[in-house]
Amino acid sequence: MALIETMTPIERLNAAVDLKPVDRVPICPLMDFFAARQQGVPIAKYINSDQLCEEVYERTYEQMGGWDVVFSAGRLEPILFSHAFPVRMKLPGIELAEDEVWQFDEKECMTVEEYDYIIQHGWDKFFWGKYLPRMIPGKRAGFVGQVTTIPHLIQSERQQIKEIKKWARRGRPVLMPASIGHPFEVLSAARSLTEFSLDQFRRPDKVIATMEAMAPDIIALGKRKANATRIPRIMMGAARGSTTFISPKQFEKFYLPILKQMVDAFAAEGITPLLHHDSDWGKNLPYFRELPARKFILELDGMTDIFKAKELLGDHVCLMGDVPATLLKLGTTEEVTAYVRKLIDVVGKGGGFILSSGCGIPIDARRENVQAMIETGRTYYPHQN
Amino acid sequence: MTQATNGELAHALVQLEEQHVATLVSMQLAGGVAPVIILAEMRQGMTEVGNRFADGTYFLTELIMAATIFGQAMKKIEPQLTGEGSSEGGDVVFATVKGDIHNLGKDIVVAMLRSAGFRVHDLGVDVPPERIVQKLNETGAGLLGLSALLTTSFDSMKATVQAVEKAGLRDRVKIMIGGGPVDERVCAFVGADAYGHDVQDAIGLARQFAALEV
Repeated sequence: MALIETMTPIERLNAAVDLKPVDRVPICPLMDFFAARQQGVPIAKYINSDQLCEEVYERTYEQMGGWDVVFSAGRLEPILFSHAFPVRMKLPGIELAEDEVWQFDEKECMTVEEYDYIIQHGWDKFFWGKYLPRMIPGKRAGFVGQVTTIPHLIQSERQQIKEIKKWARRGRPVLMPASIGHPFEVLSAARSLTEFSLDQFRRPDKVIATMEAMAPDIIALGKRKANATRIPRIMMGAARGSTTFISPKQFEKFYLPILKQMVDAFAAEGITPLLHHDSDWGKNLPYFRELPARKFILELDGMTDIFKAKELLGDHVCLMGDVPATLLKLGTTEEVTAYVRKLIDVVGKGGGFILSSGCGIPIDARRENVQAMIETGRTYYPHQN
Repeated sequence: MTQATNGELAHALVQLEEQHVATLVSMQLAGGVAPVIILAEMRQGMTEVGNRFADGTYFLTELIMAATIFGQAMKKIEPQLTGEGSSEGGDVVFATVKGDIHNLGKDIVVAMLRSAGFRVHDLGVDVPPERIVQKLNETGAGLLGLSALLTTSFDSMKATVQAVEKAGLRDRVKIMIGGGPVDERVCAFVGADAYGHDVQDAIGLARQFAALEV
């Protein structure tokens, strides 16, 4: 029997976040490089052009029959990305071939001494005054500076707002306007994973004081982006706070207090943080009950057991995910369909679930697998009354 | 020459007491304890660190700290070692495959394998198959570890395994793979012998394959 749709995409999304019944699960794949590859646009061109990003996404959306929620509008803006995760990168068309995806080239780009500077002046002053100038072209290869300028940042935001309005006219909400970083994630990128791991043992108080000094600037940026774009959500990209990297004990000490502070600050203004949590957060899942119920979304990438997350948090937070990258590349369409059905059966039961890829769809995913993921989401919902 | 230690060094390492380990190693070397004895105790400490990782007491951050402390101690101990006891586990060639420049996972596995007594030939990142084959020939290593974070690197891993086959080395070289998205499906696709989720898996596999060699 065909599934009867009774909700609009925005109603479906809002109901899912609010843990209320839906007519079927909302679908929101994270599709960037995959879309570029589908349209034959080399990644080097794609990441440098607002217009190409828009065209490539829209064409892929049309060809695959569309979905409910547009993950993000506009291109992944390099300065904003660096504000959230200031890692050195090797870029297509510069250090890598034209059609390769960028890769992290993680090296220390903030010194131990600079903790004191941030404690005194906050994150923004360090980021704009010290970090960005360090990354300008000619000095060294990196993400920022090679592909953007500040006027371009402003232009990108205008383009983004234009796109958001365009999608709104088509009845499609955009999930989030920008990604910001928990200070722990930001410092881990700036100091490098190895150095930052050592810092947690060698100078824990300084790390905590620095994160406390950073939080207000990061929260302010998130609020500004949500207000400027009128999207009442903000993404918080994360991986380094997961149990792939740190213990629950460290999570309690270094991560949870500021996570609470940030989620509370956004919730107070009606902004829902999308906790885009890559890697394995399994042992930390119970802590998420300490965040306000139905005031955030927890997005997982296939490394955390999402079925366990449903058991522990299903009555507390909307889960999003998590068709694994490996399955989309190497699996068969039958396997993808079976996995998505299982997600909808178990994680979708009772609402509170958004179907998505586990992090981004890999550039070399099989098109028919991505189509099967979306199609199953559109047509399969056993919980409808 | 003193030939015995009291376990304080291993204990300090397990507790991740960086300064304490540095002091003890310097004191023991100055006091005439044989470097090979100190090394053995450091390895004993690292084994316990690995056990704690396996049982979920320690996580990657603790491994990085322990490996750093171990590395610092080795800088003092190694010049005084006369060859004995430095690599009991055998030779391993290790690389992040061509097209992938991620080094974090590889580096920690390499550090832990070294502390477990393996002689690791770390070729770095973005390593083409022919360089890996050349190193396997050069060292006679019976084990190859390949790391990748990107799905696009699976093809590169497969090409590396094929190059090892083509060079006629596959019978004597076991191949283990690891990295974020690597699972059983990837292992089959690539044609590797085994895959690991984390550093303890890698050490377990290396030990298992080393035992097979003997």
